[in-house]
Amino acid sequence: MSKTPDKINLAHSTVLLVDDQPTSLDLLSSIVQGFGVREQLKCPSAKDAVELVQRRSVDLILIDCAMPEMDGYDFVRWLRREASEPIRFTPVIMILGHAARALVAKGRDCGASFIVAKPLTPAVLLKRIIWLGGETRQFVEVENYVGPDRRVRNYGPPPGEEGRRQTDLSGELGEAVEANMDQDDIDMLLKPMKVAL
Amino acid sequence: MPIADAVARAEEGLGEQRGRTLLVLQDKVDALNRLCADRPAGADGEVYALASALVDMSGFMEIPPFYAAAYSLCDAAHRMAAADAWSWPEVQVHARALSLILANDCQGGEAVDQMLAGLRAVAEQAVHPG
Repeated sequence: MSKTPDKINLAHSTVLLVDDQPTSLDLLSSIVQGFGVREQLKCPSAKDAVELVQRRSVDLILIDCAMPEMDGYDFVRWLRREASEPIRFTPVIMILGHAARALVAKGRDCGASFIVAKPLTPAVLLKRIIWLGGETRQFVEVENYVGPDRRVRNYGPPPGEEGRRQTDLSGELGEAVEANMDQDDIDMLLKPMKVAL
Repeated sequence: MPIADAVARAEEGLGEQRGRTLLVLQDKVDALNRLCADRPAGADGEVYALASALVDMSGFMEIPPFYAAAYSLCDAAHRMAAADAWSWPEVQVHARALSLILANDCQGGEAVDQMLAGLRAVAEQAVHPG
């Protein structure tokens, strides 16, 4: 089973940061800079971000959810449904300030790869970026949804991560934790037998 | 780069911006206090935008009391507007709390915990009076 890496190299990555609050944009930028990202592109609005991603590709988008005019949800919906390939597959981490439950669901349903609620720590954000690096989810395109498969729970936590629930199992095959059933036992389970009623 | 180093560098970068960020937060809280004094009609959107900006910025910093108070205001403004039950006193008590927390350099403590509990009760009362 693969483990969470203990090193990261983002020196060749380009990250797009989108936030209408200049101070928040600067704070996010300093976090990403600390992670060693080579190139940061900053947009003060989702509309600017739309214009930018049509001109050039980026490796990751970090976007604030709440913005005037076009908000983060509208941007991700546009990206997933209307942007050209391969831009529409770009991983997106949405950053949510006022994380009401309905807003978290809205973020999931618009096609975000991950949603990170504030208060945000660099450790949590970096962990999500690492998870994206090992992303195994299918990209789903159906009438009412376009984006990464939302059925994360079915896959369990990312490989090497411990789940929050006792019943969480990783989606990757690990070493067997109990002996294989022998064929006789299997046959006994499936063989039609007379029972006394 | 080791993960621990990346996180430490990011935290250091945030720390360098703490002073400047607190000044911006103070400006926003001052704007909130001015709104509370003037109580203009139809300012619910403006209050929510200010509260949301406070949550956004403080959500990057290690200042849990300020973040909790800002979040409470955001929640109260959101719910009061949705229920068409706007109440300036509820906004004002949040604005005062935010000012006090900033004046105390965003430090926590028992008194601050009690104040935050009061804010949560006020926010709840704003939508479910009685």
